[in-house]
Amino acid sequence: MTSANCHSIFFCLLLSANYSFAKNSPLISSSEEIKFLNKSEQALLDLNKTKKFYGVLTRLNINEPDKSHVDLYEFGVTQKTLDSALCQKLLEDVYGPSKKISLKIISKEFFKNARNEKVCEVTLADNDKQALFKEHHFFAIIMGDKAVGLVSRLNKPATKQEVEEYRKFVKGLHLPQ
Amino acid sequence: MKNFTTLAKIFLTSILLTAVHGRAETCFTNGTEYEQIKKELPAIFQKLPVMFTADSTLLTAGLQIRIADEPNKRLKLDGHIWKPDDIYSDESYVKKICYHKATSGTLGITQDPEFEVTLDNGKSYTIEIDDEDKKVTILSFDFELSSAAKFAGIVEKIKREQKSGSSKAANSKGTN
Repeated sequence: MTSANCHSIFFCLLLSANYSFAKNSPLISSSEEIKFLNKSEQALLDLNKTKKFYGVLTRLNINEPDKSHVDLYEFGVTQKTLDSALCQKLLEDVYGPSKKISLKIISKEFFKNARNEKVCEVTLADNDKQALFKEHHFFAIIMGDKAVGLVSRLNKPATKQEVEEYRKFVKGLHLPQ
Repeated sequence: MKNFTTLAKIFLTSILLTAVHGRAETCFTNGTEYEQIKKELPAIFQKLPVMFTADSTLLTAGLQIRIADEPNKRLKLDGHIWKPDDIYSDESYVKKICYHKATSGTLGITQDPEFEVTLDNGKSYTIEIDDEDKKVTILSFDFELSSAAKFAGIVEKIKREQKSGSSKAANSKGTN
């Protein structure tokens, strides 16, 4: 690292310290093999993200990068159950006000996970022909005293089989033991 | 004496705030508005897409601001960021970009030109212009203005490492 590469020595020291003491808790665990990258561990990982962004999960048994990366968000909530209004609020904490954003909400559904907890799933489409990700799948679930959000972004719209596969992954998530 | 010091602090703060908020501002929200006001922007932003790259020990990244290929010609920020075994691509619609001209304000305080970028999700940050022809700073990281070829080179480098990282990950047992 040279001075040309980093704007200030103080910032670089601060960043290095941040890396050294970075919290590497995955927030959630999975029955699948996953790797977790906290937002503090990689510079500019959160460049486009809101403050609720926590890090990125990588599903190690999936080779395609768009399908293996899952953005992870953490929200403080007072409600014990997830309803449509809360799902909408959490969605907007990630993407901004739904009536003003360019991504289009194409469906909102609920299903239950292995512990009978409600999960909401919102699918959003991007009409930009050059979009890196044509479709976003947002999932929200209340786990203990927090709500967790997950975002999968796909190069092309998911097939029914892929949607089921994502749901299976989300259903298998749980708090770390 | 203590009162004088407090008053002096208030006076200086007021001047600084006035200097900051009094800066001339030119904003645009989409490609159509950009075309109308681009002559007022510095050389580095005369053409979209504008691409920036960083390739250092701490950060290898390619960022671009472009006009999205959709009816409203919204602006978009694409990013490709790499760290060994962990790479990440991202994109976001831009709600608004405001250009603040350089000023030599009160008490000789000079402020460099900068862009304030606000994304659809409300996130906002500043692109400081260090050199109107070739260099900016984004969140304390230096980026160089890039040609399409150099940008593509960085993105390809990231993708190569991404494939390599994915293969390694797939071949490893991983952790849970």
